[in-house]
Amino acid sequence: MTPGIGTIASAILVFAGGSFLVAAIIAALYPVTQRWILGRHPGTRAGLLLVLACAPAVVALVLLMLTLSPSLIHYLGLGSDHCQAHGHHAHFCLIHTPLLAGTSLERAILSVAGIAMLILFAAVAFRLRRVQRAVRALRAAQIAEPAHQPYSVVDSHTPFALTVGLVKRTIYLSSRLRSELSPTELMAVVAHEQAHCRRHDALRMFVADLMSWLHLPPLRRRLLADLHLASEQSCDEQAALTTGDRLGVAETILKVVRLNAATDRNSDILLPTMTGSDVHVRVDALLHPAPTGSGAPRAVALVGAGLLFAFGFTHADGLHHAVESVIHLFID
Amino acid sequence: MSSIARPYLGSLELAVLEELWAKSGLDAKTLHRSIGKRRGISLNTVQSTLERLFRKGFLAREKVSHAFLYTPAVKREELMRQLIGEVVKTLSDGRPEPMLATFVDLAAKVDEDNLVQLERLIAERRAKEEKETS
Repeated sequence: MTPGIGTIASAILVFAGGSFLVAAIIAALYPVTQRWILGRHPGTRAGLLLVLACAPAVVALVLLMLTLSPSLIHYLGLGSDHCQAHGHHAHFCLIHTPLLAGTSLERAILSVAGIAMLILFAAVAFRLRRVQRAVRALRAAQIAEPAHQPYSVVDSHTPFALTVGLVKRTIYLSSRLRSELSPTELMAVVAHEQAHCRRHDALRMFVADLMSWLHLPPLRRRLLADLHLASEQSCDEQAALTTGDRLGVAETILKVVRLNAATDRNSDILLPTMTGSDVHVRVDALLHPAPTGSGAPRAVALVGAGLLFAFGFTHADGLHHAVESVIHLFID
Repeated sequence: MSSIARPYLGSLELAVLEELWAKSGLDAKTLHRSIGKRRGISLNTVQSTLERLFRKGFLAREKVSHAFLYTPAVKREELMRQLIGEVVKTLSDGRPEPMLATFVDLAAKVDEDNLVQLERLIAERRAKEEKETS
């Protein structure tokens, strides 16, 4: 039997170890591959960055499932007892190991994991509440407009356009922005925001934000900033396709920047942010011909992930023993 | 209005205020008939919402016979201005909120020289395109 800890604490260790390993690999490789990734079509890039942001959590979860799969197969009566073959190291199994061992080491692991989860939930709840308040305020303040319009208008002197809602998405334009833009510029802004709706960008960003907590903080910030930029550029490309004028979209971006700069707001809220340089990159990209997209990366990624999972499943016994050996090193 | 520091309101609170902006001087029972029944909530819930709004400074009240009659203590336009002000503050407080991404980051600072340079590049490209097509 596993000395010291039960299945739950072992599962936490496997998940934490797996996610740390993946996060460390990505942290080492991202600076080398960033230039290549940033050179991809914005849509492809956004997909890649979402995968990278979620990788530590997803891979660690798959590792956990594969590690437990031999005992699960035995439990379901689909295979033989895998545990008889060893006894020389820690045991991580759904059948022979108790869920809780009641030791101080286990209590420490569960406490740390519990505190981490609480902090994560509190952070997510705070962010969702912040967004929910903004959405409620926008809904309350919207001006009655013709129903066929693809956007709602709110009475505000600040020129802004944004898409809100994780599931039910709505585009909001401030009255100032609408009055300042020409019909073509307005079309570019609305097409950009409609692209956010179609791409489910708010939901993507929420998932990336939530899942990327297992990354090292500097890399997490970099990944989220790059993902944000890729989403914006992807929507710029859609706006350029809709209006048929790439330079017009670039001009609209600069016009909105100028309108914002001229808006009387307190200087203490004009802080530089991680997206401060996005304007330059977005406009620069629109000065060049449209990048060619490809559906191949998604297909390659799906097939690759499937093959990797199949390989892991066929070698689940070896993986199971290897993980048990590693746990043994740590708790013995 | 100056007593309202943070104008965060729930959907029921906003519905009550909308009703009172449309028709001032209503008591809890009348409000329950107009919005409470439609929402499937009890008279007690409406009463506690009115009490909360009164304590927050959004409503004024006057006791007539056995019931309080409520009137808005804030103008609709003023409250909406504050609500949107809070949203703009959220969008531009330097803590990017990925779930509320704007067309152009409100907190982004692009210096004048960069803007002029980008505008010049666009103008040059536009002139080049027009020359090619003509």
